Amino acid sequence: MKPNSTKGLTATLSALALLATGCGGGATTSAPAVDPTASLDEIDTSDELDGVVPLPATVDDRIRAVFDKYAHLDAPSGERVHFLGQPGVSDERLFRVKAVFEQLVTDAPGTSLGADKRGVLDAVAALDTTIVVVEEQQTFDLSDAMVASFTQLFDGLYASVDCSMVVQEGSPEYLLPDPAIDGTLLETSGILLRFGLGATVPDFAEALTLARLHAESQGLYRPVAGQQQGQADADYLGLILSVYYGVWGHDPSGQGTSGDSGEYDFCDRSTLQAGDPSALALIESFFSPSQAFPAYLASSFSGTFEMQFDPALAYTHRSRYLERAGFRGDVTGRINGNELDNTFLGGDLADQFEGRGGADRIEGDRGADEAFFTGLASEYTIVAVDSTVTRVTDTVPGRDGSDDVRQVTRLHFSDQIIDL
Amino acid sequence: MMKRLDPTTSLAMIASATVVTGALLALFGGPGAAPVAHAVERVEAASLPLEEDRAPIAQLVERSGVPAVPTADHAPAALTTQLVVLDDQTGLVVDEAVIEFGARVQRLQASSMRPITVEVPAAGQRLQVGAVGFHPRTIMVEGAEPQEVRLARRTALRGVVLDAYGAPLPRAQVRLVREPAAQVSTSLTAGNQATIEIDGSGSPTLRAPASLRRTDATGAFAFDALEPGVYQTAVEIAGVEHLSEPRELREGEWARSDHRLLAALALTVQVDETSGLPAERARLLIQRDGAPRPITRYTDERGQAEIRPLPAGTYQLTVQSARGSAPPRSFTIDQAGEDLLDLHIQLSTELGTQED
Repeated sequence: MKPNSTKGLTATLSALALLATGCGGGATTSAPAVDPTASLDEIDTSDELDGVVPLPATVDDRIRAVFDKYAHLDAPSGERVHFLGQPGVSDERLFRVKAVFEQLVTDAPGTSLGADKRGVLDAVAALDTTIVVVEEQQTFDLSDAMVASFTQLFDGLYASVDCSMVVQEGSPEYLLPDPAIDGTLLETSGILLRFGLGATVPDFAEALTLARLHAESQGLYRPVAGQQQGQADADYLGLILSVYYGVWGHDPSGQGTSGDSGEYDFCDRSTLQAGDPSALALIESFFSPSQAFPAYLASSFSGTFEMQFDPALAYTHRSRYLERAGFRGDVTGRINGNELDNTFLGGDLADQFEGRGGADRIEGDRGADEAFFTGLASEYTIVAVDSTVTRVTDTVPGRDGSDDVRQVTRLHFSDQIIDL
Repeated sequence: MMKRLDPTTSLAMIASATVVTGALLALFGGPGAAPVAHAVERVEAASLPLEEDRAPIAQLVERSGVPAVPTADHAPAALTTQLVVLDDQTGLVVDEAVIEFGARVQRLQASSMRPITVEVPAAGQRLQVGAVGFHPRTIMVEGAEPQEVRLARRTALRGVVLDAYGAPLPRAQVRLVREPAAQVSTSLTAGNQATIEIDGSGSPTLRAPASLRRTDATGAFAFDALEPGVYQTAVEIAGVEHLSEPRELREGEWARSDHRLLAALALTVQVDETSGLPAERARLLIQRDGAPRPITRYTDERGQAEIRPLPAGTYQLTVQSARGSAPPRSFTIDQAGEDLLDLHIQLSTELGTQED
């Protein structure tokens, strides 16, 4: 599959699959004898920083035959949304899928419909939703005996995400001058719509349909013909969300359009706002203006990661909307923030962070981490907030803002270095 | 923990949850048939009316792998009829009508010789018939006999964007400018309508005007459903804005706002790798001095990209590729300049475009 294409997502977005099980396609009419997620409900992930653990031996063999790692999301009700990863799916990819999904169901204060999403997440978990991250949808062979057995165990009720469509921050395909299109938002938003959002926030679902129909009738959106309403709505939502968060901002078509076949007339937030204001209103009724999931840079990353928009760096069309970024384990480098209130997360080694605008938070963690500032040391106030946090505030308006640093060993100013 | 419901209950739950995309898997297509590995069809329970006597969900799926539930997309058409959509003011056939049927939208071309043919499940079906520049109308399909649908005009601004030689410019961005500038706010009310409010005076409606359009293949564009007022349109090329004359629009009136751009130069860039092979998907940034942002293009499989038209000015071309780098190149276009400019870029082996 071309890394820069989202083709195949339609099949991937079969999401909640109602599968006719058994040879000959005979449809099952009775409920399965066992609870397929029972063996997942008790898995303890608390010891792992990212919540991704190997599947323990207590898990049903039919699951372990296909998948080898697990993560979950806790709903307010105490029930879980399950995430399973195949052997070829790295921990960091599985974590990212979970994190992006979690972001979509995290409260968006100030929005008319998304300020309290507890009911949405409860609804998703109430369906025992299991999201499987497969190595590649095209090679996830449903006729394979082990996959068929897994499918039968779940009575076909699971959602799938294609790992090959997940483009992680800092990965080679993310940093290319022509970055690969990240399908995570498209896939997870489609799952969310089907597994809870559509039912628990009917105003959103209805407005989504109206917005799509409006975009179609105006010729702004030219979807694949013959789709039914739910799929069409999911595809439209995934596309406008991807555009909103900058996935298409580098204008891969060179024509200002988005979608695999240029089916949508806009490729970035500003043109979306001007050209399809219904879509913008819809998104901003439920979702946050920036992405708050922790974007850990890929294990292959080295160098400097920029979050401030720079037309010369194609990936900053996306990173400009990130709030949280960091390193894990022995990945290290430098991250320069954007004007949002960023949170930077340090890994095991010596990392470097520059917050730039906004009220940023730097969590150095292990290693000799360093924070960088634009101006002279004398232009900042440095105050110990408590025994672990130091607040560095720029007295020059509109520049670095106020940053809280923790577990950081050095503060770099333009004229001097201060050891903490 | 697991709440596996009986099939009937789960149907109701799933249908009410707008949840089900049914992917029907035919594990084996029959003796000797190749296994079918993927979901092949979807059943949208949510798009169906929720009836008390709905069949159990398992019965919605046929053994053969074809959804058994008639839906808007799959129901056999019981009635075929023809619509003749006319401009109420002129009596002429409307070229392109938009038919909304349930949750589907069809844009259908028509002509005076070729009415629109629609298929509906039965007589009595309601359709919404509209077109850009017209008020939509809901009609009931009465039978197989052709029906005439007359649409009233609504306020619209139409135009075309041409280059200096009169060639249409497809995909050009056209911005609507209202005098005085309107404050547009967007919101979604709890009453389930996405509302667009203009100056706080527009009635809340999802079909509010947008302020940005792209030209079609013929260079044409249209801003529809406008409030009466004075408008201009603007086309920006490389930071140079071409602004139309102001037009005053009254209720139900159409006006034209055409653009003929002065710029006509076409820039062709050829990018090759060090080996001499074409560099595909190289990113070109063409930045005109003083322009707020660069033009972005990508090379095709021949390593080529064309940018047209470019107005006079001094430019810097930056080429980014995973296969190599090249120093930025400057070039100037003057008013009486050439019509074509070809640039050839040879990438060096130094990888300088990727952040590392």
